[in-house]
Formats: sequence, C-alpha cells, structure tokens
Amino acid sequence: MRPVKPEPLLSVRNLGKHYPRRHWWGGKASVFRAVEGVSFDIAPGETLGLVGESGSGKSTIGRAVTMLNPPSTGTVAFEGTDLRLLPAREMRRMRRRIQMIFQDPYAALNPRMSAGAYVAEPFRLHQPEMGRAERRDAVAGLFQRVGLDPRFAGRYPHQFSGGQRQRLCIARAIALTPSFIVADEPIAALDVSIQAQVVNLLQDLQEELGLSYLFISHDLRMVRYLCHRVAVLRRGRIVELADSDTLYEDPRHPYTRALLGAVPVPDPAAERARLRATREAPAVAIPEAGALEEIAPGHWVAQAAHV
Amino acid sequence: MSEADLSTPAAVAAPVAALPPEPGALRAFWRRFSRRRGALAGLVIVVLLGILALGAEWIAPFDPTATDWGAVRAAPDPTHLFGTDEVGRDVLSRIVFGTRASLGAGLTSVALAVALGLPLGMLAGYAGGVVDGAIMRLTDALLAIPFLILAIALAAFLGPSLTNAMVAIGLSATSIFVRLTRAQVQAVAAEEFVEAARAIGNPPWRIALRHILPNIVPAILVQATLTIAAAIIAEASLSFLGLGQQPPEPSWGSMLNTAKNFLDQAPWMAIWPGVSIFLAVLAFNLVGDGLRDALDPRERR
Amino acid sequence: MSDSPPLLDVRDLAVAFDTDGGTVRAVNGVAYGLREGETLGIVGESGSGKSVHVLAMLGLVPRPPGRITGGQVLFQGRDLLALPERHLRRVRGAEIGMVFQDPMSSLNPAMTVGAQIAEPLRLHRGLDGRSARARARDLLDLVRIPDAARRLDHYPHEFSGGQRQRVMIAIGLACRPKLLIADEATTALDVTVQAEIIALVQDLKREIGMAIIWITHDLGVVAGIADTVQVMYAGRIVERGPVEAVFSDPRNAYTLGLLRSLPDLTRGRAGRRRLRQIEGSPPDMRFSPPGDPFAPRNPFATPRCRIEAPPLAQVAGSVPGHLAAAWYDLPALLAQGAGR
Repeated sequence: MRPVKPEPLLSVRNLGKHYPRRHWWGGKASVFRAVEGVSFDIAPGETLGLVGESGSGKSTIGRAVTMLNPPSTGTVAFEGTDLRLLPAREMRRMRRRIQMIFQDPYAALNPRMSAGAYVAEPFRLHQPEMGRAERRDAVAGLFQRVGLDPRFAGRYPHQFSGGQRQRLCIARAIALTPSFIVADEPIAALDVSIQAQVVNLLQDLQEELGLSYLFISHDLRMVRYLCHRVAVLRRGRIVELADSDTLYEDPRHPYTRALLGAVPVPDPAAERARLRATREAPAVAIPEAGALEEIAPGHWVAQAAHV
Repeated sequence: MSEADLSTPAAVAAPVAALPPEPGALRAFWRRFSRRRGALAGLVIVVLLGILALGAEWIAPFDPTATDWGAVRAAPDPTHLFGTDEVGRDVLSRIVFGTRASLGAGLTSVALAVALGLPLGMLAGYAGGVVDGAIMRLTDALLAIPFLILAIALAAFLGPSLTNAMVAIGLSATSIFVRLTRAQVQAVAAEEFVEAARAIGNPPWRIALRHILPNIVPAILVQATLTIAAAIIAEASLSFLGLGQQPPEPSWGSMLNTAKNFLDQAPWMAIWPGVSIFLAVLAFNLVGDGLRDALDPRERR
Repeated sequence: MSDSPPLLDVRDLAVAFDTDGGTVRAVNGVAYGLREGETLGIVGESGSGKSVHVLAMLGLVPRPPGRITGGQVLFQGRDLLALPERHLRRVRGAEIGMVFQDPMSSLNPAMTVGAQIAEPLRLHRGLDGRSARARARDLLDLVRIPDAARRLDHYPHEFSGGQRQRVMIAIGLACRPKLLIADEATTALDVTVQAEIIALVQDLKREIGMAIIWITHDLGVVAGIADTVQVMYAGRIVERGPVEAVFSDPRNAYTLGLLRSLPDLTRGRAGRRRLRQIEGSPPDMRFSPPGDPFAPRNPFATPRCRIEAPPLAQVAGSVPGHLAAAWYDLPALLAQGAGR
C-alpha cells in the first residue's frame, strides 16, 4: 500500500458499453450490456491488469478508455479531462499522450508501409515541423530502444518475425513519449520464448518513461508478474479489484478463485495435485456480480446481485 | 553477462541482423507472376500489341486508309500479307492501326471507370451512412443493366465517335469499380492496423489515403486488367454497330462489320480482325489472372 | 522403453516445404515411439515442426508445397507413409482420432452435430443411420454434454466454444481409436474451460485407454497430463523423457529456457526477479545454418554447437528414456554459475 494516494492519471467511473439488439423483423429492441458499471483508477507509473475470459469485456474496456470505440455511459477522465467530451480534433491531439498496443502484431501493421515509415508516422502527425533527417534519427533511436536494428527501417512487415513486429508496434506507441498505454493482449499471439522478451521490454520502458499501463490479458501468470493491481472481469462487470499480491494470495470472489484455480502449473507433481484437487472439489455456483464493496483498504469484491 | 545487458540495443539487435537477405517486393512479385506460363504469354502479347499501337506508322506497310482499286478483295499474297478489303485497303495495315482504337479504347475507358469508381467507392465504403446508401443505390441501378447494353445505349445517346464510345464504355464500367472498391475498403477498414492508425491520431482522410488505399490497389489493378479485356470487346461491338470508330479510320470491330458482307468471297477480311480481338482479349484476361494469383497475399505467409 | 512393441514408431521422419524463398526443412529426422495407453506431450513453438510432423504422418500435409522427404511411420506395424490415400483415410478417424485447435472451423456449420459425429461411424464402421445416431448420443454423453439426445439435432453455432471442443473430441473418439492426437486443442479456450477439457480427456483415457499425443506450447498443461514430454525446436526433438525428469532436470538449453521464462504464479511482487528471457528469434527455416539450430540463442553454446548438430542421446545420470540433444553438460555449467 502506498502511504499517500497519488492523484490518478486515469480515472474511469461507471463505464458502460451497450449495443442495441433488435429482432430482424424490427420487433422490440433490447440492449446488450457488454460492459456495465466499471470503475477504476490508474496512478502514474502504475500497471493495472485487466483479466477475464473471452467475452468478459476486457478489450471493450480498452477500446472505450482510448475512445477508439467510445463508451455508452460513464466518464473516462485523463488527467482530469473527460475524454468523452473532447471534440474529435482535440481527441486526436490527445492521442500523443494515450497509446495502444494490439494483440496481433501481424494484423496491427500495415502490410504496405515500411517499418521505418510506420514508426515515423506519429512524428508526421503530431510534429509536422520535424525535419526529415531529424525524424530519421528519432526513428533510428526508437528502433534501438526496442531492440531492433535501425538498418531494417526499409523492410516491410512480412519480413519480420512476430516478436519483432510487436517491438515495432511498441516503438510506434512510445514515439511521442505518452504517459499511458493500453496493452491489449500484447503477448497472446507471440511464441512462448518471445513473450518474456516483450514483457521485459514493457517493464523497462515503464521504469524509464514513467508509463502507466492498462494491461489486458488472459495470462494470469504474466499478470501477476507485471501488474501492480488487478481487476477481474466477468460478463462485463468487475468482480474483484485488489493489488496483485492480495488478489492472488487471498482471492475472495468465487469467480476469481475458479479462475486462479484453473491455471496449469509447470511442475508435474504440483500440476497433478492441482488437477486432482479440482476434480474432487465441489462445483461452486458463481453469482452475478452486483455492487463492489471494499472489504479491506484497496480490496474490492462484488456482492451477489439481487435479481 | 548481467541482466541489464540483455535489453541493450546491441544485444537484442543481433538476431535481426541474422535476418536473411530478402529479395525486393517487386522481384518476388515478378517471380510469382513469371512462374505462370499463361500470364507470361499474355504479357508478351500485350507488350507486342502496345508496340503495334505506338509504332503503327512505322510498322504498317501501307497507309491504312489508302484505297487501291487494282487490288480489291485480293487474297493474301507477299505484298498484302493479310489480303485487301472491299476498296483495296491493306488489311494488315488496318489491323495494325486498329490496335490503336482497341487498346486506346480499352485503356482510356477503364482509366475513366477507375478514376470515377475508385473515389466513389472509397467514399461509400469509408463514409458509410446516407452517402453510402445514395452511391450504392445508383450503382445497383446501373449494374442491373447488362454492361454491353448500357454501353450501346450511352454511345447511341452521345453520338457515334470513338471518343464517345470510350466515354460510354467507361461510364458503363464505373459501377463495377465502385462496388469492388467499396467492398475492399470495408474489408481493409475492419483490419486492426486501421484501428492502430486511429490510435495514433490519424485523421480520417489520412487513414483512407495512407492506410486503406495502398492495400486495395492490387484488387483494383486485377479488376482493371480484366475490365480492359471486356472494354476491348465493347469497343469492337460498338464499332461493329457503327457507334465507335468512324470510317475510313480502321477498327477491328468496324472491319468485322464490313467483312460480314464478304464472308464467302473474302474470308480473310473477317478472320484477321477476329483473331486480333480474340488474342487481345485473351491476353488481358491471362495477365489479369496472373496478377490476381501473384498479388494474392495468402501465398505470402 | 518398455518391452511391448510400440503402437506408433516414427522413424527419421523428414518433411520439407518448397516456398518462394527456398526449401523449408520443417521436420528434420524426427524419431520416437509411443506405447499403447501412453500420453505424450509435445511442446514447441510455431515452426518447431510439432504440428507438421503429425499432419505428415496422417497424410494431411498439402502436396505441393509440402513433401515428405524421408522416414517411416509405423502404426501397429504398418507404414502409414506407404499406405495409399484410400487406406490412410480409414486409419484417420477410425484408428487415429484427431482434435484441432479451432473447433469452429473444424466443424461444418451447415450440418447438425449429431450428423457430424455419426459420419465416421457410418463411413468406417458401416453403421446404419439409427444405430449411428444412438452411438452419437452416447458419445455426447461421454464428453459430458447435457441433454445429449436433444443436442444431436443442434448446429455448431448453438454450442459454446468449450462444448464445440467436446464435440470435436466426441468425433475423434467415435470409432474408439487407439490413438488420439490433440493439436493445441485447448489453446483457443478460456482457462476454466481448458481445465474442464483436460479433466474430461483424463477421464476418457481411464475409461477407454487410448494413447494420446497432446501438442501444445503450454508447459503447464503438459506437466499435468503427459507421461512423456518431448520438446521440439526447428524441426527436431531436442529433449524427451518422463515428464518428472525433464521438468526437474532439463538437459537441453532450450527446454531450460522455456521453463525459466515462465513467471511464477506463487511469487509475490516483492520477491520477484526480472523474467529470464530467451534471446533472439526462432530461426528462419529457409536458411538453416549447420550445427545446433538453437546455438545462436543459447548462452551455453560451445564452439562445437555451431558446427555440428548434436544427436538425441540418453542422458547420463538420469532415468532411462530421458534423451537430450546437447554437446554441453547443462547441470555442470549451471553448477559453475553459467547462465546465472
């Protein structure tokens, strides 16, 4: 626990994302609540992990706080500015401060844009006064910073491996020294031997640049390693939010327990014991998440919703 | 080796240096294209036709409009390799000059169709909403009329001339490109790199031009090549009906029109323009298919 | 190895792909045996050959660009590579069941689940419609899909991701195969669903007693279900042995690197250390230099590693059947403090 609570960099309150659901014959419209009533803060230099299974709304939240797919309800305050109220032009300017890293580095790179041009694009957009030589030097510096050889700036995405592509995406994201990056499953598409490289790089950059991350992942091992605090998401709602040690050592919500209990352990004896225990444990009914209650300082657990 | 070492540029840059030398994108494309014999043969024919069209003055043995009443409907012989027509004009020379009308009409009309169709399609695909609805209803209406019928109707409306025929063909082919461009834009716009482009603050026009356009060019190029073949047929058809190239200037289509009256007496008058149209159309279709295969990104990974 | 003849005997299997950029030697002399009822976990990353070699032995590698350039695959004594496609088709689905990563694209969206489960039974077992349907219902029961009789008439999109994978397993098991091959069968699933599928497979193994080849990149999954683990890199087996031995005493640097790069779920933030990453990228298989393919990324590599590829050999001082391909002595180097 921090002695003094720092002013949050990002403050999300009561975020919701709703999609209209209409019968094809135009009957009564209903609303699908992909995300509902989500609130969290992220402090400067902090990593908040967002975990949950597919369809839990993790990525929706990532795209909502970056306004790539703006939320339907709630506020997203970045350094006190409500991003939802920013006009499009102002929001584009704000993107120098708020960046995103995507899951699939194969899909996130424009196949017909050279690596150098891709990394240089933020400068072209936000610092048009920058000269050609200056920009080239800046790009070379970024390549080196993420562990790529600047001589390969002229190559195209298909000439890079998955890990190298993700490094390119990271180089582009940090080009304008943002203060906040949403990383949406940044290692999920990478080979196991590459994942640690990228996580270490993200961590080095955080220390160097004082970055805050919203780290969206289903890899519970990596989340524990990388994140200061963790929010567990289920069906669009937060069921538990705590600092990562507390969450992993003292999970309170039955869903958090089920999730953590399902992670395979790379140790034969321990893993077999875990499988046996899981098999013998009685199935626990998981209630729908209601309001969050602070059961200990900083440890929030959803109460069962009254249906 | 300390732990910090591992993240320094030199240490991690090494594996990239181990990347094998990659052939240029153009060379890789050429290798895939040239592997297809049909495509290569098509390309050779297209190039030869291009040479004929550009160098007609020097290549044609006679003036294509010069009549020779001493050699009317003469069968092929060493002087007139392809024979002569009903007023004694050299068929070979008229074929050579007719290449101009055919290729010219094919290229010009498709260029017009792309010039109109591409921006409209991008607008429809990227803007969506009412704009999309308006453009697409119009396109659907045009697509409901068969291509050739529409071209004939437009050409008849504009009046008979080669230029008008090109405009008519171009306008008729526009809806093909609107529809294709729109579909391609929508597919590319859904890709993650477009979202990544938004995430760094690209304004919409820049996303359309810098990120989407380069990725739809291959599909447009393939369609354009195939449409050239269709346009060559359309030009020949219009000229056959007297709506295209006006006499005495030569065009394969109008040559066929005249030749149909002399099929028994002078079959060469019909054979050579027929063969020319067939070869040109086949060649552009082969090149188009080759391009489609060579540009197919599925082969990349 | 045990005395009984192996169910599956892979001998020096080699597979190559002809690509624009050159020939990719995707599988390079892979050899191993599988006993009846044994569960083999194969671990590796993309390009390791773990999936390709299995596809090759079932005749599922597209030709061209793929080519089997050598080896034999003896299944119950018959060489699968020498069988005509007609006979191989009978082996696939009837004697060897398969489950792939993406249950959505492996199932036909326009056919009911019942019909798809019944299909191999009608093809290979010659069952009539009624008995195939009855058997399909039993199979859905077996993979613990509730209300099986009714669900037979449902289409794949009416099932959840985990249920679809259960259906795939039901299809894989329809003809009571001797061997079930699962290729990244739980990778696309959520952890809780993955746990259910693994529990299911373990139950089925107890009930039916088939051998399993479980291909995955997740060491945790292998630790739980495999008797034998086999690590592959760049088209070769680099280490193989009883799962306890390999996990507790890895002898190949790549195996060690994989095990070390995983963060520890039980370690708090205070006590954590920087992740030990494996440097570099997997090799470009079009340009395989001589020597151990892992050598450029290997902090323990000896000069010999760069010249000559090490053979897969019994590890001295470990249990029988623990094989590793390494010129270096990993425990000795670690004891000296190499590689921290």
